[in-house]
Amino acid sequence: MTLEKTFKLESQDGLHARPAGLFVKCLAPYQVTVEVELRGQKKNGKSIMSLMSLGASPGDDLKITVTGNDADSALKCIEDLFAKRFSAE
Amino acid sequence: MNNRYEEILQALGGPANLPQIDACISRLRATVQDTKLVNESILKSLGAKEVIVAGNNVQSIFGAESDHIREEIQKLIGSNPTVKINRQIILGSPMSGKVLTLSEVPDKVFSEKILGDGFAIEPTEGKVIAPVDGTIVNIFKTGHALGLETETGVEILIHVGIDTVKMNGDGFEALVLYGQKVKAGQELIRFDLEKVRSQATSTISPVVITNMDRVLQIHKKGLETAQAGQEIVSLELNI
Repeated sequence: MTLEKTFKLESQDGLHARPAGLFVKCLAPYQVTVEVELRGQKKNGKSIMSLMSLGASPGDDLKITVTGNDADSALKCIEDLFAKRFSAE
Repeated sequence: MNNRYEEILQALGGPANLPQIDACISRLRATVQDTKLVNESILKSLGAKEVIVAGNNVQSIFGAESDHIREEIQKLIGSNPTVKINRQIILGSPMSGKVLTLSEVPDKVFSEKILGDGFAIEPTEGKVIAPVDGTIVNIFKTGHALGLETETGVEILIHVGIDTVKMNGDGFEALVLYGQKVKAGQELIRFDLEKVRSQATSTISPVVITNMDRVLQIHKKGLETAQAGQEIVSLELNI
């Protein structure tokens, strides 16, 4: 199964270490591959370093493609993260 | 042959030809016994944008999915004993100062090891050097953190201070560029320690391996203080 959704990044300081870590942590339990696309660059959504190298800033639209058996659960987790603006709690 | 990963494995000459397989952000890296068994055009037809052969190393640019392909190929090879070769790398301390564990870092994302395992330094000097040879795979535009990838594919994040992203680059000077190759000991970032002390949550600077799946074991030397460059941990690699 492949799901795709675009999210606007609203966390205050862009996709730096903390949000990238939370993103990867939320995906870790799922059997999925995740691709995050910004301005034509596609990066591995399960790699912290790869995500940070997107250089995403507040207001950027990130296209996220999730593939695998757990795609819907994984995407829900990402939706929650964006809804909470990556606040850790 | 029924799946793409098996086809990629065969195009690299099969399990017996593959003493090592690894991946970085965009490349699948294989060390092969015999490059003549590698079929570049099949690799390209399976999605590699480019195939680079140098000596016994074959790098196939599969983009973001490279690491996933590595994972699938490792599953296919399974317990094949010729594939697992332990390698070790040694990290020097990127800063001079007091050595702390990650649990002492006043930020959950580090203390709970969400970003990976490692150590932290409470610096006594505003200078960051490369802990090991590698390539700069990430440099924050604010200059407060950077990512370094070793030749063996281990990714190291050095983050100066806590909540320093909010200083917006004030007090930080990055001395390297994205994609630049650096040598152990080379200066990477200069920063104003007093400014960090007065404006950030803490000067404590975590140093974290962000892809711990590559690391079998991390051996900490148990130092209380370290000089920049002094050997601080060794990593046993899982490749």
